[in-house]
Amino acid sequence: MQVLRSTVDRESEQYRTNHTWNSAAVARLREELRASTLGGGQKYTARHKQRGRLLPRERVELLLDEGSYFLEIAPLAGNGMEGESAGAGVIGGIGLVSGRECLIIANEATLKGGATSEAGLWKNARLAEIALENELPVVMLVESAGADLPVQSKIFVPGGRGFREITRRSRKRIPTISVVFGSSTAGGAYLPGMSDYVVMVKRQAQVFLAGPPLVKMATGEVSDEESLGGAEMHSRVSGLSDYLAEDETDAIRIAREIVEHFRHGRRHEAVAEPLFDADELLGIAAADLRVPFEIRDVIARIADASEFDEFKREYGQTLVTGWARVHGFPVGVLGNNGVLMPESSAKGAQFIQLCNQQNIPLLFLQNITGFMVGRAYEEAGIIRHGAKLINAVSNSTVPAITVMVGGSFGAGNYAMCGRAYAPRFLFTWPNHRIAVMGGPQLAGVMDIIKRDAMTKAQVPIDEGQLAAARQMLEDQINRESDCYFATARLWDDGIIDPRDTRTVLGIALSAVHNAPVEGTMEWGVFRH
Amino acid sequence: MLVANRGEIALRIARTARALGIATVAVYEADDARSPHVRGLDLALPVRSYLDAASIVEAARLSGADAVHPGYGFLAENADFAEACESAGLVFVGPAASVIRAMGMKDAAREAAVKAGVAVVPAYTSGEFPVLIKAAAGGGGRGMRIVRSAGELDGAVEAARGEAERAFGNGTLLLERFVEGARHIEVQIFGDQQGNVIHLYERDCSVQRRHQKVIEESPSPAVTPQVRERICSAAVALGQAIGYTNAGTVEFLLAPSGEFYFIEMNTRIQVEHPVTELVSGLDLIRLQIEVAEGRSLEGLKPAAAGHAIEARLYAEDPAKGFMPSAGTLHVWRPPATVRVDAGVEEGSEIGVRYDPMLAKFTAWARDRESAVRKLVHALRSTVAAGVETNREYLIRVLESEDFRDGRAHTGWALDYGRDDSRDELMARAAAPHFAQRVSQPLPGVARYWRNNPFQDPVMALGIGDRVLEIPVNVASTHMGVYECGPGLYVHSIDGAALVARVERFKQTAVPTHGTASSPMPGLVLRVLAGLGQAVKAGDALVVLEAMKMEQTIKTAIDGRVSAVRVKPGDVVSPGQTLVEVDAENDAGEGADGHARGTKNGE
Repeated sequence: MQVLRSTVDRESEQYRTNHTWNSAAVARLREELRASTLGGGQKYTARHKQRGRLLPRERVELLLDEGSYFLEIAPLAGNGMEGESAGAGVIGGIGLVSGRECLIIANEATLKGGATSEAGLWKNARLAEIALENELPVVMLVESAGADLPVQSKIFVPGGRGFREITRRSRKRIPTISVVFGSSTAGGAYLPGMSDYVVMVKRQAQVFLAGPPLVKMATGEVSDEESLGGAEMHSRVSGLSDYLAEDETDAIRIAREIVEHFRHGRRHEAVAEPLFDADELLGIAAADLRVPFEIRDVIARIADASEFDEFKREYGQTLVTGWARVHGFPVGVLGNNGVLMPESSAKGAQFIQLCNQQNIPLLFLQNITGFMVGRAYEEAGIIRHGAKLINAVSNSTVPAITVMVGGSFGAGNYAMCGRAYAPRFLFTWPNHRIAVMGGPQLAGVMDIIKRDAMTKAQVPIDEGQLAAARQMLEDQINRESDCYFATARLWDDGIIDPRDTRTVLGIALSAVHNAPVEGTMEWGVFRH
Repeated sequence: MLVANRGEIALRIARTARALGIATVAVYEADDARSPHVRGLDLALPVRSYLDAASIVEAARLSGADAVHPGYGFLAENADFAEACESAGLVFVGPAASVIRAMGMKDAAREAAVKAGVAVVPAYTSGEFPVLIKAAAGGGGRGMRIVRSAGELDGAVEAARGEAERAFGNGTLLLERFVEGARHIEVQIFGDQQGNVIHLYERDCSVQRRHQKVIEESPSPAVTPQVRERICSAAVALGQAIGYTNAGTVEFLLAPSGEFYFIEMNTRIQVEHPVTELVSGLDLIRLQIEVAEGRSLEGLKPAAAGHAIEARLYAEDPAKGFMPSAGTLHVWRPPATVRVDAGVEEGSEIGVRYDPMLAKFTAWARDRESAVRKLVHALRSTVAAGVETNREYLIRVLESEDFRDGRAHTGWALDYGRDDSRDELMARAAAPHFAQRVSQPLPGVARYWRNNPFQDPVMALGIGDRVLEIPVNVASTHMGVYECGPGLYVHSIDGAALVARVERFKQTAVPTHGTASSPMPGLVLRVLAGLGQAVKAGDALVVLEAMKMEQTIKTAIDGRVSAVRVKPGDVVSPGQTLVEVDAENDAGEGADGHARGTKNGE
């Protein structure tokens, strides 16, 4: 294996600027994340605890193996959106339970009683997708008031999919365990209803299609919640519950015992750390995305022993391709070192085919302003070559993981396995920006179009008005390109501290290996 | 010379013998073959038991030994054994069998003292309390009882007789007036075959627990030069009167008034002989051997210099009535600054078969305060992990005002409870080590990694009965942390503790079955439960004896005895199932999980 050398100059102005900027960005990320762990706030968490219940995050912690990681997915979903909270009322992530990698989903019961919001629905859908694709057993820690009724129009119809997903996983031998800690009623009753295993907590779980008031309205029957849908009734009479837990801790213990029976084959080998300090990533990642940076310097801080066997080093140099290992898992890396050119696009397509031939997962390190534009490039077939890369990315069947280490603009987002191209996981750095094009460029384009129209219509050009409109548009695009805007909308699986990239990739790669890694040799027609 | 003993004293005797150019033969019981003394002597032969005189004499014959040193305990004060050695042509390093026999019975010894003009404790006269009951054939405090009122007398006599019969095969008891506030003062004497008897000054062994010595020193802080002169002379007079040869110890009670009374004589080398060695500069084992070889003591007038003090480190739990503690001595780091007589080493199995003493530490200095200070420091720096020890108890005694001021008498007891003020600190020291034991989730990924941390990961750690929640990722404190089986032993000069992991999840299954298990190592005295017998929670099932204490094991559930796993005379280990009880009725409804075999009896 070739060992990468660092090109980083820690004394350079650019390094210092980036490092200062990124450190502040990471500090902000921490604050945002911190806020996302507070649930419904002091009042509601205190009330929850007063009732002798564990906080949802405490349930997750107790469920996890001691020492296990927990890679939380989309922790800032819904962040800053109207009617939403950071995390969207759902805690979801990947961690080890009884030695087995599982997807854990917990309702944030202290927030609107654990009711599902629109962003919560997106997040649940994304989590279900992760479980299905990576064949991860699911443990659901249920305590939810159901749909957030005022926004039912946004939830009701698509929300049905969640129940379908449970049984479709089951068919694929991916088990789901529901541990019911509290209310799980009406539609929510189908969460345990569809699950392969159900654990209910004594004197806490309440599972019924209709609660006592609604039953009384419907049939006149008078009932109480415990006899109507309590844990004991479901364990002893209805059979909906498979395990009756004495208390919350007992329920989690039971869930862990159930998982113990699931097959798994985790590997444990020593791995070599990179030769360079991960902290330097903060000095590498460009604060100003117009400034390019050497993607090999990023790879050198992610790959085991900083080893990277580069493929076609001298050809199509704006796309760096090659093989490395991350926490022992082999990966084929594609990283941007400039705009995509015809040669680099063709090179990328070839590399993806090679990785598929050898069943090697892909790692996209995306920092892309797009494909090269201009007459010469159009003539050189930039579209045709770009299409090759998009063809390969689209049809590739090995797991792909994408990290947005900078900008993600234009068709570059597609060619480098953006969200629409279904990477198994997609994480972003705090310097990340995403849009069809940059704010100034987009506003500039709109300005040119407006001027053309005005000229054609022989309307006098009001420079002040145009400038104001241009500025407004630029501001809007800038706002909507922000990584927080993106992550709130589930465009990614979370913003990460760049220094954690290697760890996050290790966990993600570990997760993808729960399903067979099989490449394809079948592709759409390439335009040669 | 065959050493008919084990542990520290066997090694101690061999050390001197080696210096004198005498080859030594060790003996060992089959399941004691891994003890250090087996390797520490020049030759080792198996014997049926340390108490089997014939087997030991045969071992001496096989090995070609021409002398036997009995050490202390076992057969050291067994006249038959001394006789057997003599008749096999072996030199017995000790007094004549007849003297051993005479002094072995407390009543006979008492008479001999009276004849020699030595004061004895006044006998019990009806109606005068307090009274001390002791076994005539006893020693080491076994069977001793203090009775303070007439009402208690009959019961105490009966209990003491039972215990004496079990322990010594002789139920004869002595009833004496109990001297309040008395100190235990003993005088080391030596007699030669030429009829000379000398003394090597006194030792003060007043600090005891359960009538057994734990700290011994010389000179006694309570003995004035005048008393010393009188008490040493009395000891020599008794020795001369009975024609004593070799090393012996005459034990007295010293009343606060300055009067002293003979209590008994030990016809052997004492555990605490190093104290005398350090103040006199003599090697008592050497003197024993030389006297046995015929050396005369004439003209030997040893001077005593400075102050020596010994502490006995026991495998026992002072917080639980000094209950002996069994287990593996995972870590053993004795001090380097004082004399250490140890019979254990790292990895030694500490069982119930033998005396639970791990080692003796003896410090010497010019004055008492300095010697005590040295001893305390030595104890503080001692690391002994794997069994409970009385280390902290000893330190606390030595540092107590009563002891420092010389006020500790035989009835004095330290008000001892485990000091738990440093538990959290010690648990914090252990936490990172426990965290290291948690398997790494993925190569190269830090344990407990979170991209969205919620709260610091904590670990439940137990010290004794306490459970502490300790953050895993905090900087360690500066304490020694030693692997100790599944736990970790944390040691600093301020304190030490065995820290254990506390499981996150408890089994909450409803028991319909109770097992009564042994809380500690011991001997089964009586089995009260019969197979099929109906029992109620709290009923006694088994009576155990462990280190002189009777322990009643009770059932915690109502039901019927479904299995009896032991019989009288069995030696049981901690946690061993004794009796099983099945609940009478199906306990599926409403049973609340406390129907377990309990560890009653304290």
